[in-house]
Amino acid sequence: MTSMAGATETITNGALNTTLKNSAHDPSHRSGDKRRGGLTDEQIRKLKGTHTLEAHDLSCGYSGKAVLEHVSFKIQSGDIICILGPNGVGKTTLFKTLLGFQKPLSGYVTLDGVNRSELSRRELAQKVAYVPQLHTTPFSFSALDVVLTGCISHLGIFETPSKEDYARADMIFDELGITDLEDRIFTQLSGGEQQMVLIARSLMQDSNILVMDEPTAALDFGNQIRVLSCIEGMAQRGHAIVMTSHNPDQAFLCCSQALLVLANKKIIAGAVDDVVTEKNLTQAYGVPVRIAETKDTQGNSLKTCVPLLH
Amino acid sequence: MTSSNNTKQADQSLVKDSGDSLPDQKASSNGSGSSYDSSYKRHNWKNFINCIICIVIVCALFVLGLGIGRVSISAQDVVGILATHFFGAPGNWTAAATTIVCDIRLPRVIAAVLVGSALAISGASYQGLFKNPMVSPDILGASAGASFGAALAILWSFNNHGVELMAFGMGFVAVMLTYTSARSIGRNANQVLLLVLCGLIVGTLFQAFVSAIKYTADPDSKLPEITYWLMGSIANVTWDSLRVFIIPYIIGVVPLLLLRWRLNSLSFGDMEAKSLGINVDLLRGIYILAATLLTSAVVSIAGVVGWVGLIIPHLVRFIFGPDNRIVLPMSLFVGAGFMIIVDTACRTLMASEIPLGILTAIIGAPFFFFILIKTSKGIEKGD
Repeated sequence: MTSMAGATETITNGALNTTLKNSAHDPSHRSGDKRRGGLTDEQIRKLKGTHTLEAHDLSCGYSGKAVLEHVSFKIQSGDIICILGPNGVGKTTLFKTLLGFQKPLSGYVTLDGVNRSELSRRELAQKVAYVPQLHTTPFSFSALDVVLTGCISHLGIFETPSKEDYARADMIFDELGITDLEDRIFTQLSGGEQQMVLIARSLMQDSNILVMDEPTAALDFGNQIRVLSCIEGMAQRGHAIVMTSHNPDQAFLCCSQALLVLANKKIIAGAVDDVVTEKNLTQAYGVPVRIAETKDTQGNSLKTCVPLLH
Repeated sequence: MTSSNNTKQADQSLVKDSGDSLPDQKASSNGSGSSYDSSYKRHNWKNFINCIICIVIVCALFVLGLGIGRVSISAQDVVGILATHFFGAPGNWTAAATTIVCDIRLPRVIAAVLVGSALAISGASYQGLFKNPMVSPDILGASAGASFGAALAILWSFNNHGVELMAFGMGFVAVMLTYTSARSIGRNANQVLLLVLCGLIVGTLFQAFVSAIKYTADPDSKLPEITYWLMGSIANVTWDSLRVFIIPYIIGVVPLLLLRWRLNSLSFGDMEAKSLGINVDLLRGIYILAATLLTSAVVSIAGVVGWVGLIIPHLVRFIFGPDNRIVLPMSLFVGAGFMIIVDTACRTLMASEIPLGILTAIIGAPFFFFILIKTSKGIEKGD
């Protein structure tokens, strides 16, 4: 698992610009080695760094009543931003605004530099994929049928998935290691398996920005980590990822940025180490929190949050 | 499409390169994914076979339906008579047999095929659209509206075409009333729930209008006529009304079939469908329009025929799975076959005609119960 030791952050214009993290799988990168897998960091950035999601002084809420104000952040390919905050502070509202289900009260969202309001539904879907929280459907679709719906934004209005689309779905199943789920019925899968299928659908959508609503909610300990490592893998392949979580530890595990929503519309955004602090967490959740340090398998330091009983 | 294909390939290579970053999940993958087009071949082949089987069964039922009746004609003779009558094939048939098959039974069996398939496909569409397998084609008030139109036309002593036209028109008006009232309440609210509730309101209202007309109608002549009409029958279908019926049938069925794959994505809710890049409101509008066209047209020539639109999609999903790419065309075939059987029973079981609506309910209710038992057993097994 990656620690944050390899990441370097610089703050420009109030928005955060995070350079690509070094790979976790080869510790030699940590000592400033610029080469990875035959590509220089610059080549990788050229390959991946073309996709950005930016919120510019965003205010969002319902019918003129702002729930959140002055939200600004920027993520690009390779970044994972974790949105943290207590229940009911407007994380979902922020999500809906980012995805374009709701108009921002002020400010705007840009995707790859283009204002979101100028994009059609279809163009938006080609840029941003949404991975919802787990829920059931009334019909027992196979996992393959669910994943295939991901390619709608790439097909003409009367088109149905072609042989190539099926092949790509097969490959995504294969890459995620869930080939045996392909013909299983989605509603009968376990929570972790359903989450992987929904992630597979977002990969099928072939968009480089992923917005994930509590991807680890309702999953057991092991599945949480499996899904997180899958998310990290996608970031390394060039996706920019926004996710919400109720577990601040996950920000330490795999995120490069964090956005903590406090009550009273206040927001703290920035590098994980700056945002997820004892003081901020205590303020946000109203319970005392300690942050401890431990070591990962490679001996790098890794932080973890421990809430305390009063 | 070429540019998007390129990006797809680029993405594939990226996915491939770093596939080793998921070592613990990789282990659970088995060898079945090695040939990448396997799922496509597997699915297409299966669907192709199923389709052929269904068409053969419908054709067989069609011929049987033409043969069974007070005058029994063997299947071979039916085929021979049709071939002689329509394609001039050599054959020596009595004028009576030709009249029975081609003039009396043929329009009726064709009507059964069209009515059954139209009800089944619009039922399947509505169920997909409303994410609810308990929905039938009259959920938005089409049948109630059409009943009102027909009752009014009978009360005013319109001729046959007048009744059909009024039924069709009012069925359409009722659904549009439902649709516009649901839209006007709120665009951000839960549209599916709003539509169902508004459909309930409009349907109840029109049912009350029908009751009011029945109450005022002359109990010796008009009232029985209205009552029989509402029970549904295709006994009096003529070539003329079929010729008119085929127009809304084609206009309704074609878009439903062309857009059927997109219906799958609506099952996950509006928000997810939108995030996949679908114009949900437009798609739903087209579907409601097309399915309403079909339902109103059916009511106008056959009266209120319940159950078919509810149970046939269930049966199809039970046999072929829930993918709407298969459910919609299969509903056409199965609905047609079912209706031929029911209508044949209507005219042969008893000395006098049994109204269609009565028999579909009597056959449909236990049948539906059977499917529910089977389906819930399947679910228990799966868990």
